[in-house]
Amino acid sequence: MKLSIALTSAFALSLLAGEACAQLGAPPITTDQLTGGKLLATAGVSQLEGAGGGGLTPWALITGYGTDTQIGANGHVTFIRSNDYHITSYGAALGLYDRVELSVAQENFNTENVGATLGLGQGFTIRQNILGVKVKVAGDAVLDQDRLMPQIAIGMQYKHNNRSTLISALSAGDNTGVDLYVSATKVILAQSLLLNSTLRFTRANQMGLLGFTGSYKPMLEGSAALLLGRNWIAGVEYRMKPNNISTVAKENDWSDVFITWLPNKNFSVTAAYVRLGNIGIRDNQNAAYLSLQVGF
Amino acid sequence: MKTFARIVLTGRRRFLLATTMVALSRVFPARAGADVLRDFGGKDGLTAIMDDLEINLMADPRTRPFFENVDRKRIKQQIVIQCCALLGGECVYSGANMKGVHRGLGITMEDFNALIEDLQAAMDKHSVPFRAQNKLLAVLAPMHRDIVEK
Repeated sequence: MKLSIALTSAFALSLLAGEACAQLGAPPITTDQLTGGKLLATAGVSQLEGAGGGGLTPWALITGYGTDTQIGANGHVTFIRSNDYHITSYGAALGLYDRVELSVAQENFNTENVGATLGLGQGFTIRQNILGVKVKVAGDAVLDQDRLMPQIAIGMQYKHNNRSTLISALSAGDNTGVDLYVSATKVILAQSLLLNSTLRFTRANQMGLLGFTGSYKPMLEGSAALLLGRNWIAGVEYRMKPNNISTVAKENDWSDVFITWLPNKNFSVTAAYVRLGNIGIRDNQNAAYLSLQVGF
Repeated sequence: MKTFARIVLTGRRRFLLATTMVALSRVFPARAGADVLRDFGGKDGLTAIMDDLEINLMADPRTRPFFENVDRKRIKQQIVIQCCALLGGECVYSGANMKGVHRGLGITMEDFNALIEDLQAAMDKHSVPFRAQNKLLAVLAPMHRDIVEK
């Protein structure tokens, strides 16, 4: 129910954004532009934890369509439906001068029947709030086509979930944690290709939904995407996971295949098939992923 | 660090790393190759595209101020020759130094990108394949260092 409301609101928002553009005359431009100076698709989409990126992993690109003299912002809603669970994620992000990205997101992980099986209650939901900061430190993924140097950004995600009792029961450590990452992203225009590699230092189990355990471990994440046309990107992603609490709740690396449609700079839809592996007591969580983003 | 090395060097993770490395080490071409020029309809095709680029630049409030009081015919000819040369055609660009002619114009990143968008629209109109368009943009993009004022 909550999801359908979220989807409806996102859709309504996108229609409003479209309407506003139509009234301003599309594309909405003036001689002194404050927003929207980046090229279409060079802002990425919103990854699951709210950062600008692909679906699973952050990219070094700063979210939104603001250039070095502009700002950009967007909101997103993402829905993941696996065999035994569903996750709904909402968030908003701000891109400042193509340098700094600030993001907030909330993930709601609904355990459905598994909750009842484990005695937690039918539809037991773990909610996690995430604050993110990313700073571009070097390079330009799109413009420096004559150099191998990718765009590099460093970032952090502060995460807090609301189920400390469950985390303690699992002996899974804390319900608050911080991920640190460095991302390198390069668009190879001559090949219509985007490549990203992210190295994340994390203690998080299932992104933090099942707590934060032990010491920091380095996890590699990667994305490769083809620019299929001005309005279409398709690609694959891979995300390593630490599997810190394998005795009670094994976790597997994640991967996905995605396609994104960006009709304009104000709206995008991403659909993906995601392999989440084992979550809690259920194996082979293959999932459908749908994400809507509105912004500028 | 040892842990990390062990992790990245196992199984499919090694494949991921290797794929990324191979792709990243691809040499970035300084020229796009003569076959790409064919996708633009040769030098004549480029001329027709740049005619439309001029129309787009003058219709676009973001770019018009930079082009309304200049010798557009000459600039257009220069752009055609320059793109023809960059695409591996039988053209020799001997025009002005890019940095010199753009100095002091106060061109921002969004102005630069606006021109790219107007060029994309012109290339679309002339049915240049998307991948060929990107090959031209790939050799034009680094010019931002000479054109955009920091």
